[in-house]
Amino acid sequence: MKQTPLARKNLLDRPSRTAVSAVGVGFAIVLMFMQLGFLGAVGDTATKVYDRTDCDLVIRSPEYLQVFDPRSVPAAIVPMIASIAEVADVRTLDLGLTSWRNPDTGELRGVAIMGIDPERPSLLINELESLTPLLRRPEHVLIDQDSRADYGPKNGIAFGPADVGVETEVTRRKITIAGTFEMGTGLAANGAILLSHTGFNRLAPDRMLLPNSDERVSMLLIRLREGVTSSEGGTAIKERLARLDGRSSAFKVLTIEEAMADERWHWYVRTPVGIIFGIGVAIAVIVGGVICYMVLAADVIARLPEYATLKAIGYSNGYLMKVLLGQAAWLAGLAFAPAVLASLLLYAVTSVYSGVDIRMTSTRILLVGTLSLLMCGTAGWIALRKMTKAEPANLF
Amino acid sequence: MKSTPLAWKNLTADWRRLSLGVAGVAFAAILMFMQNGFRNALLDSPVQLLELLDCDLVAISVARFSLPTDQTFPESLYERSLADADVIAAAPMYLERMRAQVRIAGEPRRPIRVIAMDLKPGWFADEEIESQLSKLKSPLSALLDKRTRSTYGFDLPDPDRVAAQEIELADQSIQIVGFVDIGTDFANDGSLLMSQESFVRYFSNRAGDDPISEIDLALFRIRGEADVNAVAKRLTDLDSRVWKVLPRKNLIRREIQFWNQQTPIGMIFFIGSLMGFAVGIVICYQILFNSIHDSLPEFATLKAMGYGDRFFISLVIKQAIYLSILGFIPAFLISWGLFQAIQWGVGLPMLFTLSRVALVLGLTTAMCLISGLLALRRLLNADPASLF
Repeated sequence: MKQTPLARKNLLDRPSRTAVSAVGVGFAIVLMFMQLGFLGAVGDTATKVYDRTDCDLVIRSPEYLQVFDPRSVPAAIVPMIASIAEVADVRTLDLGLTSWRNPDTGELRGVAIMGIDPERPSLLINELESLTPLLRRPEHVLIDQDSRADYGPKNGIAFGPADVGVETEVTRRKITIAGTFEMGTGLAANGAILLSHTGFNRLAPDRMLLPNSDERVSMLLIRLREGVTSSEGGTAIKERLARLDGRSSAFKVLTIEEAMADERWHWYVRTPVGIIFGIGVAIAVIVGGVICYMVLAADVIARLPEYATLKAIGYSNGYLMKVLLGQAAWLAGLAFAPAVLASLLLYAVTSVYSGVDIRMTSTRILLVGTLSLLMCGTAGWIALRKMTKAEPANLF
Repeated sequence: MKSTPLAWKNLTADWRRLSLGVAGVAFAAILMFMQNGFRNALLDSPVQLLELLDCDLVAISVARFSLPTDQTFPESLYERSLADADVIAAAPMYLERMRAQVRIAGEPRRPIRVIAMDLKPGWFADEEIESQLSKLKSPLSALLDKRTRSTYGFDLPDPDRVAAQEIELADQSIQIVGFVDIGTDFANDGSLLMSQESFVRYFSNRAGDDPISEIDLALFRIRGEADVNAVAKRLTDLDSRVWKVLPRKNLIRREIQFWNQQTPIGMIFFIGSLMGFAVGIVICYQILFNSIHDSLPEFATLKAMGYGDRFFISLVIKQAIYLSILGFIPAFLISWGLFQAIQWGVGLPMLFTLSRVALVLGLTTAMCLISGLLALRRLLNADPASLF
């Protein structure tokens, strides 16, 4: 005999009530997606720059704080590092934060600045190939197309070809926009510019303070020879650095993976924004669980007489459990697809209005799907416990 | 005849359902409290220093679009402002972060915010700071912000152990002579407060060998009967291309507005609060809907007896308001505990103000009312005969 699909029938019995329940569960799912999305944006911010590098190892100051406040190391160690047998290539990168004057309104904004050697760029940026010659002049900068509209693009939306040749001030010194590139800096700043190492020294506030700042760079990016592992290369470099005396021997040598993990850790744990979204994800999961529990508990209470009858005619607790868990799974399944759609919409809205790029990833969908099934399952199980304990006779 | 308090009786008829409902509403309210609290914490943090000051006007460089931006104005301009008839007291304040590398034996060097002031009493609205300013008279000493993050390696919160630590600022040793409460923010992980004399010794290379010739902020107190805005304008006009003088409250507002607009905080937490509100509506709707649904036969009887729609509407409204108040009280207490825990554990300023509490109470009530009225629709549309 074919078994009655009781879980499904229960849900279809009163579609309006089921719809309300599904909306409740859907909300919980959307909540999780949003908080995870925000947290993801924090993580993306952390590795925006490192993602563009093409290297195995990073050498940086022991005073390094975060990617846009990296402090500096002397450029003089470049030839020394390059002469190590395991090293194939050494490139320099400068990073910092300073002020940008909106060419249109004259208002000041914080901006991320990145300095590279135009002959040997250390960042993988498509536009660089054609624009490199322009960067040989220190007052020429490229501006990130993802910079916010209040940085003053001519068309009022985003920087583009029309802005080439515009003059404005960075750190109160004259610069000229020589072109645009696309990168995005996430939560670290709302705009970014790219220029040569010489240009960077002219504009970076910390370089202006230092004597002989021309001889310093923010970090060195190392590519190792083929066949050399990161740990072999790292050891060789550390040994060479240890022979130097004083502060130079304290330079940090990290693999690019370590640098990225370190940066994510910094953003998740040390910045207020990261901490808050971390707490937000936890809250979302708890809220979701509570909503599911309320939905299922209400359903169990409403159907107590029916369940009691089933129990009285001999159905086991296990069967009832299966029905309710089935119902919970159905609810989660029903709510999931609309919740994903709603979240995609909210991601798009938030991205536009807050300027933070929040993208859906397949891992996140999988994670939230699993979490919502778990959430509904646990809630169903708790809701059921009080029923299984009851005597059929007093359930009516 | 006294009428039966039906709303209250309905709500309390089944205490288990009531507690479920109260928990649900409390949950939504806590969610809104937290989202709002986080938003305010982020926006309150950059102005903590300004909130501690006791002055009418503050002068700031026009290029200093936010407080952590290192832009100064010349001392000569400040001195010209002292001649103004309405200014009764003024003091320069120096801030340094870039050069202020602090190192505790065994830890890497890290930048810290150094705040330097003339030690005349009365510029801080905070008793704890005022009472300790005299300690700063000894050279090369500083007061440490006790909320400074642990990454530096200060042996907080024991004053004797911090005093025993070997600490360097800008490569010269420094003695911590006491603790004050200032707070951290986006840009500053910690603060030291010191005298102008010590400041000159540590940062002798600032502003081309005359460290105090460039001022970060100037504080003014003006005559009681003077018009604050008029004086602010007059002082600004001494050289409006270089500095701006504005009432302290306006500077605080400007700073909060800057962080609200320049970071996605405002938008993200607005969406967060909205979600808390929506979740609350869903939860409340469930509770009120089930409550109405289960008492439908009774309602039908009342309806058949001739009670009008208005009776039912006021009934559900009352029920919703009771529910919101019952849920709000535990939510307030729990949020208060959570706020304290976060403030203590993470160092964010989680402040309860009357207006913020009122906002969440208003939202909670609105949430319950909306869901109550949604749940009511079914009852009003129904025909008594079909309700059984």
